[in-house]
Formats: sequence, structure tokens, C-alpha cells
Amino acid sequence: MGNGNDQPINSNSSDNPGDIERDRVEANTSASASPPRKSVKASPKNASKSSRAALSARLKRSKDVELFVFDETDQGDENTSPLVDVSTIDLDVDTADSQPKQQITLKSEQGRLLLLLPSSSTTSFAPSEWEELCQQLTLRLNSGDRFLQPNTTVHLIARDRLLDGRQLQEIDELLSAAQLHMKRVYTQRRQTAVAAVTAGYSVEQNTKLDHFNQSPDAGEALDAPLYLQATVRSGTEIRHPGSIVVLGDLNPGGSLVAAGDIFVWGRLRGVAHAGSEGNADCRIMALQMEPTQLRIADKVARAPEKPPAHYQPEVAYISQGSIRIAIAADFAQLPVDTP
Amino acid sequence: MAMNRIIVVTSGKGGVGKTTCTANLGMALAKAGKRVVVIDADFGLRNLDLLLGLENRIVYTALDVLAGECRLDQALVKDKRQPNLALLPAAQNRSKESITPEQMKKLVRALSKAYNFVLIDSPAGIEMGFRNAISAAREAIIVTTPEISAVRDADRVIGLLEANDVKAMRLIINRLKPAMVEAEQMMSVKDVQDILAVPLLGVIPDDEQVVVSTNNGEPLILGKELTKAGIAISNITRRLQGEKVPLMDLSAPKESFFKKLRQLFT
Ligand SMILES: Nc1ncnc2c1ncn2[C@@H]1O[C@H](COP(=O)(O)OP(=O)(O)OP(=O)(O)O)[C@@H](O)[C@H]1O
Ligand SMILES: [Mg+2]
Repeated sequence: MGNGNDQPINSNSSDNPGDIERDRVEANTSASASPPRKSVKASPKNASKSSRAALSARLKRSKDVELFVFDETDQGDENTSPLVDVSTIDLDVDTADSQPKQQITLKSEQGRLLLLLPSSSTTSFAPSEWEELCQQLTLRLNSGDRFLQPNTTVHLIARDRLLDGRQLQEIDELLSAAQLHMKRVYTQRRQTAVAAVTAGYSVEQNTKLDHFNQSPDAGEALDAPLYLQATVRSGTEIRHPGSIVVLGDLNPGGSLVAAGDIFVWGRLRGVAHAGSEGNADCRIMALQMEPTQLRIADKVARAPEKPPAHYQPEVAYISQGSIRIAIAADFAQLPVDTP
Repeated sequence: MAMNRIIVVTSGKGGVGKTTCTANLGMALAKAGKRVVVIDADFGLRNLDLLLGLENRIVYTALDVLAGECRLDQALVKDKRQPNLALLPAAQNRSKESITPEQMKKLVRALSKAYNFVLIDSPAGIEMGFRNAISAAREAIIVTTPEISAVRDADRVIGLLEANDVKAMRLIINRLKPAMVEAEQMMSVKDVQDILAVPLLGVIPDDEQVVVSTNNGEPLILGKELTKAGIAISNITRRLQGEKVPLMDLSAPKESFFKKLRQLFT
């Protein structure tokens, strides 16, 4: 019985010396001392492996179940210090191995597409980061495919990230599925350059790429709006250093984070964060505004407890230091305070 | 005397009631005056916030704390109904690999200084997410339903917990249907315990009210009149704190029916 891991199934316990014998003795003791049915017995002090075996043996001999009874020693813990205030706790975190919040970017420039990988403090991709990146790329390709001309050339801007042949091929396959062709790889890494040449791409190494390095510094012009035709589902977060337009719904559990405005031509039911770099003039617009939460710059608001009788297009904006929602049709007439 | 306890709620099999138990135990312990933090360790498929009705109050997650983007207390969502209860939310948009057991330990250790109880809601499975969830635990609550598949997975998890030195384990059997057990169509409590050989913390009957409370984001335990499942959870909470509470008789409705019948005739 028990979990059956400890011995071959066919072994006859009476032939076995040592442990098994001891268990039987313990089991006998407790069985003989066991109170009549319907009663509840205390469990031994430590639910360790041997006491589990003992419990198992007792259970075999009894028709009862055995209920846990708390015992101070169960915790085996010397920690009796008084509680501290959680706000005084300073977690010494190592931010180096946290993953970047930047996402993959597709930009069109002079008739070709640039695919920019997010920059990061770590040059090689952790498996989970790579998986997320491929998912992002798939989503961007699928949700923008009406605008992607077949046979467009794509240049991959790999920055200082390390890519191997398999990863390059993976990106190429995703692009090919959208009828795009990866031709050239820009990299600052020798290793990536070698992999790219081996795989048959042309390579630009060490080219000055400053204008691609979207840094999150304040005062930078926003990127062109990101236009997505998609349902943004739970667990999907779309970040963009510009405005985001979604032709579809933002589901609960999904989130949009835009440095500019957010425009949802559908139901907005997840979390939307406009002006994520601090611009409090940004707005959130939706045909049907039922958000889990809205954020503009550093302000956060929850939806009103009571949903309106019927929905109409609305605009969320900051006025007098807090987020307000106005009916879109009325919004133009509202005296919005401008800095 | 404060004994700060770190308890992981885990199961192996999915959908057996880990999150339901964590939310309700957390709320019940808080109601009993303990300072409680519940941690959602189900990165990518978080639910605990929904069951507690705290979804719309989340601003930061555990990952933001680890990335140094906010302080630990900023990420904690306080429950308005029950100020003793706080939630540390998981990230919804990241995979289970985005946090390591070491990072989890760091978070849990820190929180255990400020709370009497740290309850960790483990994801299903035995992979990275599970490993994260158990990494800092001193005690484990194994949740299973009385079905062979769930019990088999629970047994596997118990083995893994032992191997990871989490020795204080207790069992919750959830969604028991007494009528089915009596008709010998469902494993009994005894059957389950015989296989798992873990002390029993309690048995929660199958109860439609659980689904209702899940949908409302109001833990069962907050209801004005506790249903049987609510009483079971309240008993479990008391046992966890050292009270000796006998198992409740789940076959009661039948008996009381006969009792009533008898009363009618006498
Ligand atoms: N005692 C019960 N009676 C009826 N329904 C229940 C009971 N316990 C849980 N449920 C239902 O079972 C479902 C799964 O519960 P829950 O989400 O708590 O499981 P879980 O183990 O956390 O799942 P996962 O592995 O996906 O994290 C929910 O719909 C919940 O309402
Ligand atoms: Mg769960």
C-alpha cells in the first residue's frame, strides 16, 4: 500500500527485515490503542516520510480516516519574531535578469519592412523570452496582414542580440507564412553575423543604427500608430511606443500599453494604459467602455461599479488630476484643460 | 505568539479547487484576525484575483517587484472587505518560466516577515510553475477530488514535495458527493486517504454555491449563511490554527430527513 514506491509490488513484507518490521510494531501499537469507530485520532508530530508509512499502516488496520490535529511542533519553525510593516521591507532585487518590457516592432521604411528585436541587458534570449517574442511576431503579422503586401522585403534589426541559425530560421518561417521575405540582417554581434551569413542572408555588421534604438527617454517623438485587427485576449499585452488602434475587442485579462492614445473600435474590457511614458494628455477611446482598469500617464481608475443602461462610444481623459469618462459625442464640446 | 507560516496549496491535477481553497482559506484566516497574504503563483493563468474580486485593483504584479519597478507593498492588493488580507498578483502576460524558484523564495521570505500566513496558490502540473510555488513553502495543503486521476496526480506531487523537503503535508478532499459515495460510485474519503497516507485537513462537499461565489468574486466564506462547503472551509481554517474540530457529517441531509419524518409520525 502507501504509494508503492518503496518496494517491489510482489515483495512480501513479512520477509523483509528492518524498516518494515518497525512500521508493523508502530502500527500494532496504535491499532491496539485505537478508539472505536467514528472517532478521530491525532496524527504524529511530524508528517515526515516514516510517519506517513506509519499512518498508512494504521489506516490499513482501521476503518476510520485520520484527521490532522495541529501540533506546535508541526511547524518546526523557530521564527517567532513580531510582524514588521510590509512597507518597510526593501527587497534587494537583481534587475539585471528581468526581462525587457519592449516588444518586437515592425516598421515600414522606403518600401521595405524593418523588424526590430527588443534591446535588452542580456544579449542572448532566454527560452521563455524567445517564445514570447515569436508569439508577438505572429500576433503582429496576423493582425496587420491586410496591410502587408506579399513579397515585401524584411530587414531584421537584431541590434546586439545573439541569434543562432535555428532562431533566424524560426523568424524567417513566421515571416514566410505572411509571404514576407527576410533578406538582410543588421547586427552588432559577430556570432549573429556568422549565423546569418551561413543561413544565406546578407549581413550588415556594426552599421550605425542609432535611429533604430528607440530609447524610452522622454522627449522623443512617438512611433507611428500600431494598427491591429484582432481580439486582444486574456494574457496578451501589447506595448507600443506610439498610439494603438485595435479593430476588435480588448478582452478582460488582456492589456494595451501605449505611449500615445488608445483607440478600441470594439469593446474595451481589459486594462488600457495610454500615455505610458507620462503624457497626461493622452486619451483612451472605445465604442464600448467596460474596462477592468484604465490608466493614463500615472493615474489609475477602475470602471464605475454600475454599468450604464446602454453603451455608447466614450472617451477617457485626465481632467483636474483624475481620469474621467465622457460620451464621445459630447467630448468635443467639453472644456478640457490644456496645459 | 506569532508563528509565520508559509503554506503552498497544490494538487498536480488541474481544476480540482486549489484557487478556490486558497481564496477561501485566506479570507477565513483573515476574518479570524490573522494577517494573511495570498500569492498567486499561477503566472500566465492567474485566477486568484478573480475569485477574490480584486482583479480591477491590480496595478503591479510580482514581476514588477522583481524587476525593481515598484516596491513590494505597492504590488500588494489590499482587500477592502477584509483589511487583514492582501494579494500578491501574478503576471498575466508572462509564462511560468519568467520567474525562478530563487526569486520566488525571496518574495515569500520577505512577506513572511509581515504576515502570519503566506498562502501560495500553485498552478497545476509539476513543471516550473509548481517548482516555483513550492520553493519557499514550509507546509503544503494537497487538494484532490475523489477521482482516481486526481488522486494519482496528488500522490505524485506528495512524492515531489517530500523530495523537496516540504514535510508538513495535509490533505483536503474537495467536491465530494456523499450520495455518490454511498452508492459506491465515488471514492470515499477513506479510499483516498488510504492511497495518499496524508493527515486529513478536511472534506469539502460539491456545492453549486462555490460556482456562484467564484463568479461574484465573493469568497464563499463571506456569505451570511454558510453552506456546507462554507462550513467545511471554516472548519479547515480552525484546524489549521490548532483547534480540534471533528469532521462534519456530510450525509446529514438524509438523516435529518428521516428525523423529520419520524417527528411527523410521533
Ligand atoms: N466544492 C466545490 N463544489 C463545486 N464546484 C467547485 C468546488 N470546488 C471547486 N469548484 C469549481 O471547480 C472549478 C475549478 O476550481 P479552481 O479554479 O479552484 O481549481 P484549481 O485547482 O485552482 O484549477 P487550476 O488547476 O486551473 O488552477 C471552478 O469552476 C470552481 O468553481
Ligand atoms: Mg487555480
